[in-house]
Amino acid sequence: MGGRVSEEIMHGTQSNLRGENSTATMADQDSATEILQSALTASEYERWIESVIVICEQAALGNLEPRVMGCEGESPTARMGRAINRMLDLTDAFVRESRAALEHASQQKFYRRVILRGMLGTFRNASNVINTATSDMQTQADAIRAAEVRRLQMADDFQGSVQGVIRNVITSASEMKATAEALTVSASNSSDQVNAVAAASEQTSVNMRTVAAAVEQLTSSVGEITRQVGEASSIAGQAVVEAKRTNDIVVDLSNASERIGRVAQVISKIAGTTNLLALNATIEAARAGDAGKGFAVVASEVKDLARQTADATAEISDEIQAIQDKTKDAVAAITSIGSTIQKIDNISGTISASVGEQRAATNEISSNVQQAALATQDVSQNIVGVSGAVGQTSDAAGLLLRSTDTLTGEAQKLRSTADAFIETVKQG
Amino acid sequence: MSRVKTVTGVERFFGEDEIIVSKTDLSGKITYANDVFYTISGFTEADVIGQPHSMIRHPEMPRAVFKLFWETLQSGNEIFAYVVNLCKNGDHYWVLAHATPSFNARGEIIGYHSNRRVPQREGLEVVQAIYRRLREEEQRHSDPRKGLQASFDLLTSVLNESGKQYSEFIWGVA
Repeated sequence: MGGRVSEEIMHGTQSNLRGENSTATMADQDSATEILQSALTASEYERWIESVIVICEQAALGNLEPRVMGCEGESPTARMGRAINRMLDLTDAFVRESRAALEHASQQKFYRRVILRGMLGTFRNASNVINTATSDMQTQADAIRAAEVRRLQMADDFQGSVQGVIRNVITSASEMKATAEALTVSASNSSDQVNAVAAASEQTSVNMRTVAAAVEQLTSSVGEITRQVGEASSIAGQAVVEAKRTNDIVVDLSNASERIGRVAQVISKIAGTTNLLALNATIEAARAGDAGKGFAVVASEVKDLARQTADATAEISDEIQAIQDKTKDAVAAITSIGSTIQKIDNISGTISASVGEQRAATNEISSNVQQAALATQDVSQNIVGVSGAVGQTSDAAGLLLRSTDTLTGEAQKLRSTADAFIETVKQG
Repeated sequence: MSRVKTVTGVERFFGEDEIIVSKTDLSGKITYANDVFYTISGFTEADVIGQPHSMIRHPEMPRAVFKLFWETLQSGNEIFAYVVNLCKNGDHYWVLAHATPSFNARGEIIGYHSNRRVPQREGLEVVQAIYRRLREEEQRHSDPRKGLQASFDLLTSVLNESGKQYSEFIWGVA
């Protein structure tokens, strides 16, 4: 019998350990008690004890399913059976509770705690320990989850910012590349323009030298003109003086001729008088006859002389008149000469002023030309510098271009590295 | 062996530190009940051993709850439920039932086990309101199968509204 019971117990089914005798009377508790107390034979009792031992042994082996049956009533065996069952029930409940609570906790379901109701003594203490542990686990799990959320958030933030940075770097590199390319083209254009400027500057320099030479020639011409004008002016001055002196001479000549006229009038009067005297002498000579004949000849001679004198005097007066007329003409001519000279002098002054202005203008041109020449020289020198700078720019642009390619490549490598890193962080 | 015929509406109570224990075989027939069960229910061992556990089912219990109850258990998981049970004389008592499968050493389910404790009154009120709705839903249908399905759907939707799975929900009110 014991073997059969044991086998049933092992399969988790309960046995009425009181045996077949008792089943007929189980409906009535009082009679059952009575039977248990009074009707159990010694061998039945021994069998019952044996079955209880098997249940306890099974419990000791960890099988908490079997229970003592037929424990109704107040007999010591019934009470013992109920006590064993209570012990098993409580142990069973504790095992189921602690198992469930820990199973749930391991699945992060921390709400499932050991139910304390019904747990007594050391079972309750152990239950409290489990619940406290679960609570701590929950706190830690919450902290881990929060840390996880933070980590993912950080990863997201990092990803966002790194990707933003990389995007910016790539964009910048792309812009830089475009700039470098534009710079290369620009440098090439600049180089052409520099060459053109250098050529133009050289041409300007040549032109400047031509202009400078022309200006120099002009300056020397102006000097010559000035000198000649000065000379003309001084000659005109001399001419004025000479004209005045000539005028004076002519006036003197006129005065002298007037004085000669007056002398000629005196002579004319003397000739008239002489003629009268000769006439008188002739008359007297005639009266004196032959004696007077010689005298008559002399008187005739004197008469001739008087006539000749009068004629000569008249001729002289005519000549003097002619001289005075000519003198007046000469004075007029001299006056005319003087005013002409004055005019010439005036013209010389005007020329001189013009020449002065021209000199100033020429000087200005000269200084401008010199400045222009200096400026051109500067331009030429600077152009050499610019040309060098353009060459350097071109080199730098080339370098920059290669750098941007490298930068773009590095940024892309950084992106894939960052992506891999973030993926790793996110996966934890 | 006696069957309950009439409900008295009288509620019985048991102690805070007491656990009502019962075990069934795989088919739901009672194989063990503890002394607390016998004391509160008035049944004897002879009344219940070998009988289906549904013999102590109270008519106020929605069938949808037992559907969930057994489906959960048969899948190898524990389940908690507020349950009102009948006494032999038609009185009733409320419990917070915790049912678990019993496993043998090979991890196979060999039966079921129920530990029933004193329920929290606040949780009970929440649950009683839900049970009323479920029962009304079951009674609205003339076809019991359709009534059960509608009631089960309603229970599911109530749980969806709470945003929790059943076990978490019941722990929230237990």
